Amino acid sequence: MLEHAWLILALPLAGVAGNIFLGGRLGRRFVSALSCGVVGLSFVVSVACFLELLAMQPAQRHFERHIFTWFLSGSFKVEGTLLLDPLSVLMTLVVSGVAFLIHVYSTGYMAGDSGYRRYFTYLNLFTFSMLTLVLGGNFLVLYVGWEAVGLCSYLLIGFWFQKKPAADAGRKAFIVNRIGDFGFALGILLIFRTFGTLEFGEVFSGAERLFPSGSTLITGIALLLFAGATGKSAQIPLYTWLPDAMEGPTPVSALIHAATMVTAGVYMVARCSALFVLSPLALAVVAIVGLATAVYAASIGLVQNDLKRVLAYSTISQLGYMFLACGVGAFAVGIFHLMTHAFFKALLFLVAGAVIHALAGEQDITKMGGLRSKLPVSYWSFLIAALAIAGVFPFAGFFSKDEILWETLLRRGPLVWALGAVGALMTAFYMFRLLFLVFHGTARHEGHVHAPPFSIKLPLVCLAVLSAVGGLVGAPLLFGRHFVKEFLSPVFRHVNGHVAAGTHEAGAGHFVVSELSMAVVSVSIAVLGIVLAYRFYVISPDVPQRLKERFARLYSILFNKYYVDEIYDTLFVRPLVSFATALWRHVDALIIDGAVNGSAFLVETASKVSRRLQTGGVQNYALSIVVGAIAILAFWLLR
Amino acid sequence: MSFVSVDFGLLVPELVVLSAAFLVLVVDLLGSRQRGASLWWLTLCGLGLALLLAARGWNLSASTLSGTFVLDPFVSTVKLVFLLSAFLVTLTTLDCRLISRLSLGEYYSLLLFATFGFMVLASAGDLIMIFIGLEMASIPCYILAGYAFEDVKSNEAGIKYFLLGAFSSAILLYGMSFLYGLCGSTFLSEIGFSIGQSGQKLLVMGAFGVFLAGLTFKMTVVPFHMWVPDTYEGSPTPVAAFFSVVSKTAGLVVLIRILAYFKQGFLALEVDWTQVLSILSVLTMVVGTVIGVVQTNVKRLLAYSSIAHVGYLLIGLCAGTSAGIDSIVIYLFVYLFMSIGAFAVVTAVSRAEGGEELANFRGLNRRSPLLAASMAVFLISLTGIPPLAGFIGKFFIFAVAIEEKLYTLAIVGVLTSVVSLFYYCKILKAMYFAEAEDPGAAPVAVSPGMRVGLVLMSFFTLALGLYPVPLVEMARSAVRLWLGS
Repeated sequence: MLEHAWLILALPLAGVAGNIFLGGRLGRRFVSALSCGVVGLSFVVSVACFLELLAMQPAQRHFERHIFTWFLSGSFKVEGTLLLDPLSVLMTLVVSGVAFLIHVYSTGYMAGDSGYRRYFTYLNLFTFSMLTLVLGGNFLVLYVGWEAVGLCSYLLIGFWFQKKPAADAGRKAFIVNRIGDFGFALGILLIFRTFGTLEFGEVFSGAERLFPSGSTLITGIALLLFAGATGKSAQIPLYTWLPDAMEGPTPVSALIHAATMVTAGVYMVARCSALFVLSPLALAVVAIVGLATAVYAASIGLVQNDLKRVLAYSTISQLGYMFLACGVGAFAVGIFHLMTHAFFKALLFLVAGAVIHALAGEQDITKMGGLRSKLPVSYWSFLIAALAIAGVFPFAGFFSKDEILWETLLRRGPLVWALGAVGALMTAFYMFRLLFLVFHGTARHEGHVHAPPFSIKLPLVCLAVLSAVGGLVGAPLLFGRHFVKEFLSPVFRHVNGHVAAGTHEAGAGHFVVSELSMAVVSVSIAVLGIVLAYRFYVISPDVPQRLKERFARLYSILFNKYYVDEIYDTLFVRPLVSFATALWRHVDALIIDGAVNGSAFLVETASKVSRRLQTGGVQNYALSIVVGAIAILAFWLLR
Repeated sequence: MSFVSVDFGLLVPELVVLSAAFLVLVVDLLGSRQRGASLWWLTLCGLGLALLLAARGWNLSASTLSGTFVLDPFVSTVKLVFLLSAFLVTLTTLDCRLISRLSLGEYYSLLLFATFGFMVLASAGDLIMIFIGLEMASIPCYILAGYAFEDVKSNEAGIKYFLLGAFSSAILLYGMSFLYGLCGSTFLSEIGFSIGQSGQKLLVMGAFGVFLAGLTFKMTVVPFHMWVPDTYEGSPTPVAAFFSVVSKTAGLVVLIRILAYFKQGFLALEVDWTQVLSILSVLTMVVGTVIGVVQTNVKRLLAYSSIAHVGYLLIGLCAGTSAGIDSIVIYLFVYLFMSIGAFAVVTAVSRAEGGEELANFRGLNRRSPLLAASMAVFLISLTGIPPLAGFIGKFFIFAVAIEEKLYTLAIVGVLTSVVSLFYYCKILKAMYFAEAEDPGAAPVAVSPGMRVGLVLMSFFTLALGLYPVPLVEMARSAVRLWLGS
């Protein structure tokens, strides 16, 4: 099946084409069947590729499929290559699998929308772009996917472009991403300048061979690449687009947050681990940015009242954990958390969508409540997802998050660990705050609650199962083996040589005990967060109000998201806009337009004059031939 | 005295075209009144078959008819351009306003005869064959230009083309006689050898100059271009499309091949032929573009655009390297789709509107969005904006120019491309942003052949822009096989 891996990409693309050319004629049922079908088949092909890789020897699990030579100019050559190795195949599985469930969900969620076909066309294109990004065998193909993902996010966030906030949010996502992409593009150019190639294998082996650890050039490349990752994966300082992106349809949020788009940055950093490990500085930056984002976004999530926005900040925070893992050199763990996060975050969003759908568009959690009995499937799914993200044993999030904290403790010491643990505490708290406010207590909303259709329930159940047991593939304490780490180890084999070699060898038995105890600690942290939330929002609901009044300053800072949007607005947006206006008024309108109009006038005058030569008389034409012939001869002979 | 031995195997594509031409004539005479469609199919099949056969024998290098007929990968590639153009022109012929009421039997056979003539011309290995090929191609072309005999402008086009064509043929012949007189042979290879030996620098240059003047008429190089706007405007539009690609290509190919034969001789005599070609190239680009700006007739505008494009093609020749010839071959293929495509849209619009003024294109997007979109693709490609094929063509041409340090040519090329955007934009603006004069007008009706043709040409214009590698590889290997790396 590896030979036919191109099918993974071709199928969603065929879906796009089918939706464009046939979707209008054949109707909605065709659109639903086609869109879900192609992504489902793509998932099946991914599974087949995965199984085939599993059947190989671990060292040989690396397969490159050359599809075509993209362009060729002198020594510069770019191939359209697909790369299938454990990392890309794992990503493919997550992307196509979760995307498939979201497609199915969307058929129910978007059923009444007039832009049904457009929606599914974009959705298929989004899946295709993300799969291209993941499967690309060189930086340029990766970049194509990277940009295409940005485009699709713009299209989908602004899907309801009649609403001004949605159109603005789409634009914001695009522009903020462009800032990161600029760094990323510079990084790629620097790679090409340094190594003369863009193929992953050649670049990485070249970096290992030619550059010592800590080389400035590699640090520069790694930091530029990471700048791209902060844009796409919503890290400080470029995270501001993501909360606004909630203006898109909810399944789109699920897709952006779980399967596509935001995970791109983490994937890219993991893919370039060979470059990052050569630069301790870049790794430290990744770790610090990740940690800061994790704690910072979680603190904002504590007080937001919009259901989807809380989830958005939680995504930013969880992505921070993934980068923290990468920053401490535990790339495989970062990818593991990416995988488990995909399950429970997709689930959280889909449940949020189901709730919003049931309440006819209401998103404010202070106006919900008491939905437990009315939406049982949603409630239980949300509970599982919340337990998973809080990190309660044995749900999926526990294994990955616990391992990130453990690796952090091991490699960066207790202080960093403690900050991470605080973030985890806040995560558990705000998640259960949501759960209690939305599903428990008394109903604070009016009107009928719509029951979700089957197409919405089915993906919820599937994802709930995955969120519950999906973490077991990485549970060394239970099985003695960490399947994900083992599977990914060929990709990250160079990492161990650089990052804190030897920590694991020293007294494995001792560490098992500590790892176990640390697991107990992190579960206790999660439980503490849950208990706090229970106390605040179920037992004595007046506590939050009192706290709010007591710490009014702090509350308003958190509630207004540290005023970062406002700060960016004054620092960057406004000066830029006024500068641009000045440029337009003075430089563009006067000088440039003047030059353009002037030269156009010149050309037109020349044209009017010279067309007079075209008299229409044959004798004049013949004369011009003779003159031409004589001129050629004269030029030659007289010179 | 032994009879000249002929290897008919090498002549198969030409013979197929020739027999198709005669077959069309015969069927036209014998058939019933409803024979239009069958003649159309017959022409298409003949051209298609010839195309396949020419593509199959693509990598052959041989000569026959005592060396007067030469076949090599470069020539075969050029023949593919001819046959492909003739095929596409035939596909889009049925929608032509000027000739739709006429019997088309002779039209098809003339088109096939002209194609045959051009193919022979491209393969010619001696001066006589060049002249015969040229005349075999030109005479049908004169008639084709005036085929719509009920239309005054078409008559004017035919007559002007014929008079000036005859005039330039005379000049060409004059140059040839000089060359023969100097070298005592009509074979290009022998002439190339003996001009080096002759030491008569002035005479050689004079003879070649006269010859060049005759040839540049065919290529529509400024100042030998005066007939082009009048002839293109008056001719039936598919015929103009045919001229815009095939007759130019033929002249250019003859020039390329002659220069390849004469190169050693010119080197020995220290003749610098690139300078005069550079001047002609600049003139052609500038005049073709600048006069195009004030045109209001789309066909005339495209005629000027086609003149400007010859200027770009000449840049590749001025470079004087095999990479330059690569870029010409690439450009020819790219140009063929976008130029014939643009003319095809004009054909369709002109039938619905009864004219091809800019005003006739107003609001086309409302009436026939697909027609407008494909016209937009062709025009943007003609300008040379990525990701369309025209960009690839210009990219390789300008890259060669810069590599060979022909900076003036590259700069003029880029500047004229910018100016050309202006007049292509006039059409785009009319199609997309102007209200139609008659808002209730029905969509432009197109025949199935036209539809297939437009889809094909838009597809290739897009595809060659996005993925040019196969074309580039083909051009490079053809030139490498021909010139021996």
